[in-house]
Amino acid sequence: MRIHILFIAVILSFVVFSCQKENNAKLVKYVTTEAISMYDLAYLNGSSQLIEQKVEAQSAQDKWVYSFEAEPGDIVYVSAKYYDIESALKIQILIDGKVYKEKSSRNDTTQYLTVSGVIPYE
Amino acid sequence: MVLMLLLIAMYVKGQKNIDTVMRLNQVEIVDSSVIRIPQLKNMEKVDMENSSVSDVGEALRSLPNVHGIRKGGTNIDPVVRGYKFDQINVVLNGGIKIEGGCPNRMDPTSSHVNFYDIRNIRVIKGPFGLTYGPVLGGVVNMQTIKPQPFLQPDIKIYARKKMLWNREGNSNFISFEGGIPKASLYTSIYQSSYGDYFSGNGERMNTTFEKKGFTGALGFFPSPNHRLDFLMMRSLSENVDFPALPMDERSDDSKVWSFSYQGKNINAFVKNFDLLIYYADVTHIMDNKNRPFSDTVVAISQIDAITKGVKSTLAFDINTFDFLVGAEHTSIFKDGTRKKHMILQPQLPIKNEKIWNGAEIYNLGLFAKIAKQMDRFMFSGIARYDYNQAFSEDILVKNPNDVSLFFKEADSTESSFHNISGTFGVDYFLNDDISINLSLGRGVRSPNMLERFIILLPVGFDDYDYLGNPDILPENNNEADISLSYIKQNIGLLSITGFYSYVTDYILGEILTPTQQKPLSKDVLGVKRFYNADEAYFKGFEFYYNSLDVLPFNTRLAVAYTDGTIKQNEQYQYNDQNEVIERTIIEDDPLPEIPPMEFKANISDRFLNKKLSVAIDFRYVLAQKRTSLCFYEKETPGFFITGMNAGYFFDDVFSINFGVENLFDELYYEHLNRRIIGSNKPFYEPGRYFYSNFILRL
Repeated sequence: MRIHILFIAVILSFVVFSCQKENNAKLVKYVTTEAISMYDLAYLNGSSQLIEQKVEAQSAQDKWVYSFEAEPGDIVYVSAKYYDIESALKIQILIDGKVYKEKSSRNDTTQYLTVSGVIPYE
Repeated sequence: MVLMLLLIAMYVKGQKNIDTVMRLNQVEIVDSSVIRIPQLKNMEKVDMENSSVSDVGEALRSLPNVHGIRKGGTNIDPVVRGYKFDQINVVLNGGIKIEGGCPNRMDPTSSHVNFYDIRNIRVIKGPFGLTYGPVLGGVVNMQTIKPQPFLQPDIKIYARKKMLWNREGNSNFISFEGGIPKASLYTSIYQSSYGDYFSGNGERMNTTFEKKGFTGALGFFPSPNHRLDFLMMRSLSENVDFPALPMDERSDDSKVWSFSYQGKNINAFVKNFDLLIYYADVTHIMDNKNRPFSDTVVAISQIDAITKGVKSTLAFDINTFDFLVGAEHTSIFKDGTRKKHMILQPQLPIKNEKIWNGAEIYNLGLFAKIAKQMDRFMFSGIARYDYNQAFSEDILVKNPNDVSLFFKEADSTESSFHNISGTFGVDYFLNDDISINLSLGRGVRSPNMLERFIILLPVGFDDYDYLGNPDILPENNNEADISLSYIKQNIGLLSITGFYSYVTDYILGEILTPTQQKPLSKDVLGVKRFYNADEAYFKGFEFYYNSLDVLPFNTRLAVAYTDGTIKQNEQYQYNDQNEVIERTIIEDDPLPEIPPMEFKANISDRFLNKKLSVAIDFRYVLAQKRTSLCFYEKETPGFFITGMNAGYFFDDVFSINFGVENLFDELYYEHLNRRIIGSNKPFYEPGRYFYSNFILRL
């Protein structure tokens, strides 16, 4: 009888534990650098809302950073445009500290620089 | 319409200790020959629980002339004698219909049922199961476990663990059943988690999925002749990969509620009275996030499908005639939107496209069945009338610049049909051993949601966006089956069935020129709109043998063949830009997705006082060379696979079962498996894999 109870307990625990939401959260970090003047920035925040703001940069070393936790399958998105022909921009999206996607541009005030994607499933 | 032909539905007179064969319900051709199990009637659940299968569609593929369309690791869509999708009426507990959400049938009806709660599945081939609803090519009836009265207060527990290797899967199921003489409760919970599998050449196939579910059923038995049942079933799927479709299922949440009443021998006139009321709600979410195309556009679709229905039947006798009369009403509502996130564009624009726009279908059915035994003859017939009505809100498609690409006003989407179906069957018992059955039937199926209202999605077998057509007419199947069965104590059971179907207004897609309609999906050749094509023909046969107790080992053999042809269809020739440059009429073109001929054999026996069971099965499938020219369907090579299974029953409580599928690690794929999307690669079946089932009954 003891082995029967044990078997039932094992099955039940498998079912119960599998019904609990796994924590697959990823740490997402947006980083923009290399701009030497103001630029317009739009990004998706941790609540999947599009945030638009102006970023004042003084030198190419200035960094704008935004971090949040996200799940696999969430969209990550950063888009920016600068207006100073002498300026530049580099956008990186990092997932758990590793560069997931990046793009850069220099002396191009006509195009938006957009880096985006979906957090990969395991 | 012309009723063609004949059938012999094999019919076994009496049961004579032969559990394998169910007494056939006149005219209904009930395929009970689940190949692995000799005593199907009482062991259908056992058959499924001792096997490697985890899905209704997969289980059905073990029946002769029943196949499945594979698009992923699970949710295989049943095909009966070459009939598929809504040409088959798939119901739960004799009448519950569940409309899936996905236009691409990621979630066919069978996927919304907790597999481990099913006690048996019955297939009625042909248009003969008219008491289950309108039907064209067959009925699949899944019966769930029903609470049973307990003579004294008691509790039963059933637990099961299934494990697989090479498919990296496991499932856990536990049920409790308890009650008293007047009431009982059944409840179960399950969870399944499967990873990718590997084909015979070691190639990884993306077939991951997770499922879980809960079922509660309550039965009341106020008197021996009356019972009331309440059922609540919920099943959830998550992250189901469909490499043969443009999207994966992110989640699918289905809820089914039903109430039923069954009364027997209510008075001198009424033999049975049944009432069924149900409600099914499916929320289906799918996306392309795991696909390369999501680098530019992330598409997420959510579809809500609600099915409601009521069905009632009354059985009575007048003189020596058996009568059954019934009525049913079903309504289906569907609404869904695809959100496209343009993630490479500034400001992240989101485009909303309707997949279904408040589409509804109502069906009212009235039917009557009569049966009469006269000496060596048994006659039966069913007549059915359906009033089918459908409409949708505006069907509107716009391009990114807000320019209308396609528009159909709500007023012009309405359609209604009066459909008449009927069957007639006669069994003739030549003697105690041989019986012949002839069945004639006409089944009419109104177009489904997809065929009426779908808005530009690649839902077909080919690479086209499909557009619904509210003006489309119902399909009609005029079928004749003839069966011969022979049963002898020293020979076993032999049966052979031949069938011929003549289908009019067969529904296919016709190409629209780019000026008529441009596609919305990426990488498709163009747009096709559903229309009523020419006549189609299906013919074939099924042979079945069961040695019963004649041979030292129980042996079962099955052979099945189906041939589907469309009288006339168009083939399109394309230039390098995929533009249609020529159209050719093809006469008698094979229909696409018709399974090839196959042979199945199963040998099994029990040893050690029947505690040890051993079974081996073989399946040989011929190459399918009869392929559709119009659809540029590819030929499929034949294959031969073998499986083995051994089980040990320690006692009435505990049993273990081990098995291997595809023992020789054959690299193969079924003709009905869809191609891997974005490539011409076939979707291979699993290579060799092992499985085990641990079962406990208390």
